[in-house]
Amino acid sequence: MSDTWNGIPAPPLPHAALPAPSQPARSIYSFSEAELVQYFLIRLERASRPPTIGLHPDGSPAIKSLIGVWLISQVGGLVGKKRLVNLSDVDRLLLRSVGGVAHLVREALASRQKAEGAS
Amino acid sequence: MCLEQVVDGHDGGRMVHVVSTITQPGSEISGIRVALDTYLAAQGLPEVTTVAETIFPQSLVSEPVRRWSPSLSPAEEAPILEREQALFGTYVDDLLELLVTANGNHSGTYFSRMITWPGKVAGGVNQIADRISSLRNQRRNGRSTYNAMDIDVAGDALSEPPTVDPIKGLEVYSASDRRNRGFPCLTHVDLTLFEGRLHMTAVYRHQYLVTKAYGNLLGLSWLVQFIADQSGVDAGEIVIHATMADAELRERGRQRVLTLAKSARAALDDLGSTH
Repeated sequence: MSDTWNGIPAPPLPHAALPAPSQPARSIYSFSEAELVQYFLIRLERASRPPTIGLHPDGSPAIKSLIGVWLISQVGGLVGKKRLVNLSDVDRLLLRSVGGVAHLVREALASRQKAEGAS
Repeated sequence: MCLEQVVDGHDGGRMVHVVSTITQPGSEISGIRVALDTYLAAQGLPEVTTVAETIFPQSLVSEPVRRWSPSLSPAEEAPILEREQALFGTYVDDLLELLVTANGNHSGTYFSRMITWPGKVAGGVNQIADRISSLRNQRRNGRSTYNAMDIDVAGDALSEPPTVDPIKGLEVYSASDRRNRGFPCLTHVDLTLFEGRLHMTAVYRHQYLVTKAYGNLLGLSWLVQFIADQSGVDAGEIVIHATMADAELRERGRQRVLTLAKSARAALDDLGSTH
């Protein structure tokens, strides 16, 4: 997937006070897990935190769990919800790979979208 | 190896006043690290790096461009200042609100208590930035020895919310305090600049020797190295005083802990035999 969000005006942030991580061109809610993986890799590269500890058994780059939390925070910043997940409820092992974090984030976004639709 | 000693301690493998020393912060014996991480992974426990990063988030900090020095021009100093500001900003602004949702982090992480006291939200006292600033002042004044620096992690004697002078650097229970403490295990960090080297003493009221100690030591090593780099001094020794050291025999099982200790000892002996 190409870096389609580079330089393209972003939609307004839901919460103006939050910092603005790199903005994708389309809503992050529409991203598949594979697209989230690509987005995360670009975010890591731009933040000078490229994954360097090899591949995780799930086939995506392995990362330290704090980097996994940082990636979640970047999406949380985009959707205006810093506590996008409750880490107490998260399988800690998912934080050890880009693919695992993408899975977590996709589920959190779907759940959030569902909740907003219901309200 | 503290663990070997404490396994045979009283009360299920516990000892009081266990002191360990790191003479070369940051250096590791890979065989010991591998043995421990293998054990932790098999038990479904957080690995060494995860524990270490609660004390110092090494994966968020950039490599030092150069060491701070009083002779640097403002332009030369700028990237060094940006390095610490980026670290503090990322941790507090991006991560903290999420990190405190994790079990065990509800009162803040060790690092958040050091950079935004009392540690749960942004806007608190940044003790590490203050200590770096103090060390730089010592360097500007040509001093290479100074020992009046502490980092308070527990704050047991402090009122809540903090009043006039929230950081006193003195770790004493207040007379009226009747609360029992579960967190933090690391209560106090003392920094001493001596002959141009920055030494650290850390006090644990309860140190878990299997699941936490190695990560604790590594995190403290990263912390002292960071403060030293940012202040233009060398990192010195670290001493950890565990007022209670716990081999975790009840939780982990005596045989498993002994097997782990033997694996670590074998890695250490292998190193000795190759030198």
